[in-house]
Amino acid sequence: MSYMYPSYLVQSQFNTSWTPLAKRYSLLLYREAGWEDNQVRLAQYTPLYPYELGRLGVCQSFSSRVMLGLPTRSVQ
Amino acid sequence: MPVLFIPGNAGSAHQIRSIASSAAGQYYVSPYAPSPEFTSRGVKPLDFFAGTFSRLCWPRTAELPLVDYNEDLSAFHGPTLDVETAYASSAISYILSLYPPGTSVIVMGHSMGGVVATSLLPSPNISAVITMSTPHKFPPARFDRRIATIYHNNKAALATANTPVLSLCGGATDLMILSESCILPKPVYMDVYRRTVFSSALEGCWTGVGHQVVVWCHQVRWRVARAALELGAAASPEERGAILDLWLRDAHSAPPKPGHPAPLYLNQTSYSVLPKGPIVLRALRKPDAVYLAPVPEASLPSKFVAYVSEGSVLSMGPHHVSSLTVSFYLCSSMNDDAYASSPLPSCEEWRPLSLKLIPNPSPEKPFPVPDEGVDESEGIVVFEAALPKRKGNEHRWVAVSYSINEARGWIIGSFVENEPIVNKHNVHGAYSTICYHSGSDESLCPDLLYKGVTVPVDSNVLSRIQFPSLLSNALVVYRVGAIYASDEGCNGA
Repeated sequence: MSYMYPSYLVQSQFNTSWTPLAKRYSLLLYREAGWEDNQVRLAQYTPLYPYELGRLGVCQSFSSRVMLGLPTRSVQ
Repeated sequence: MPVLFIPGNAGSAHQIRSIASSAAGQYYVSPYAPSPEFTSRGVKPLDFFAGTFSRLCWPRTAELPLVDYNEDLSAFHGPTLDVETAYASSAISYILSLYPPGTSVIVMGHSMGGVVATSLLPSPNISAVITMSTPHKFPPARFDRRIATIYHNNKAALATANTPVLSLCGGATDLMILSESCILPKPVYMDVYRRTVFSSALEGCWTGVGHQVVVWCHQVRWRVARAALELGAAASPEERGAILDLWLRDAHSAPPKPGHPAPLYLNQTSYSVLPKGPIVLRALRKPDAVYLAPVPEASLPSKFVAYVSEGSVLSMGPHHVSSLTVSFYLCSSMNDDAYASSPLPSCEEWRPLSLKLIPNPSPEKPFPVPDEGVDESEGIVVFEAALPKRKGNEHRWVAVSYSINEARGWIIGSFVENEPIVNKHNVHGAYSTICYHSGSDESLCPDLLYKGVTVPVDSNVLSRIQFPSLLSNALVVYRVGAIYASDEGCNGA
């Protein structure tokens, strides 16, 4: 059994000055909350949900799962 | 070291969390404290970036998590793949702007994300590409011409790009893509690193893996994470290829290149000679010992095979290995008495033909254990070496040398013939399709598909069984059960 403490930092500096697609898509940086320092390696982040444990990533699009024939209740 | 993860069709950026969490878990022994195992070698921690190919939905209240929705259905739409590639390419430029010059990115892609990752090649900014359950050879759905062009361009990039590419495939357990499409085309013109590793042959995994599961299956994710960590310290594409081979080792690959093992010099008190017959060393207790087993020259053996439990041979062993290390040497002397003092047998290091880790399932339990899988301490090393032709009337011995700190593990070994057992059963049959229907004449149905076949084997430590009549271009999924003729020889095992 292993535990994880996921947190995702939105790279808001990766904006439309880099690519117009930044309007449509986003770039996240993973950090193991409580294990890794957010500030050490890179400059500035917009922290987002650092302690929202385990809840992210379970929300997959209902319609896309139906389309692929996957269970609509995510088991991830 | 930055890593960019590209999710697949209807995938989520959050799918990176299992691999990223494992990388953090391996790198840090406790919060904020890196493991000396990595820092002593200058290995840096990883920064996992992931693209969300969906609109981020900002929550209305702080309690709700951020979700991404309307994930791109990249498998069905070539232009969507192009847009994702353009975004990933800009993301790499952005990521590298945060790091010192000369940094490169490891790109990981799941499913169609692997196609996007391949589309980024050739690129001097990408140090390695690891794809998981990616249909490289042909698209899962061809609804537009654009997707065919992307695959055509990827084929050209895979043939020439200098960046090492490894494709991890789940095999028949992956119900989403055809297993054949997961195989990377072999580079023809250039010597570039391309590997396809099926999880059923991935040492330490030994089982098929589902399409989505490949990103979180523990046995796969910790190896992917470890390979990525180690890649950061490698300087050249060749070194990166060697790291991928080491941490995501396919059982069919050649044995790792041995270093320089200490030569074995015998002195009269340092070894024991075993009787003729198979080598069985159990309850290993001495801190170190050398045993000489005579080669049965009369039976003209061609190979020597040994199994080592809970130990390692030439650095090959389970990840969490005990202190047992075993080496094999081939010794010769013109004197038939191994104890004769002049001269003592001279011993040479024995390079294996193959060296692999195989599972050791418990007879009472299914394998792999449901919901648990394989532990990192599991696995038995199989050492297989060719016995060269005898020179004149020399006498030969196999020297087994081991060192151990605690009492555990065992070594068995024997000389075997090279001849495989050939079984001519096949899956063809004029009426094979009729076999699906009840009431058909069973005698016309191919046994291999419908009933199974019994292949008698000798009591050798290794038997090779060949099915030359099977289709060579089809993946075979099989189940093997052992039928013991008697309980002889198993007492006390």
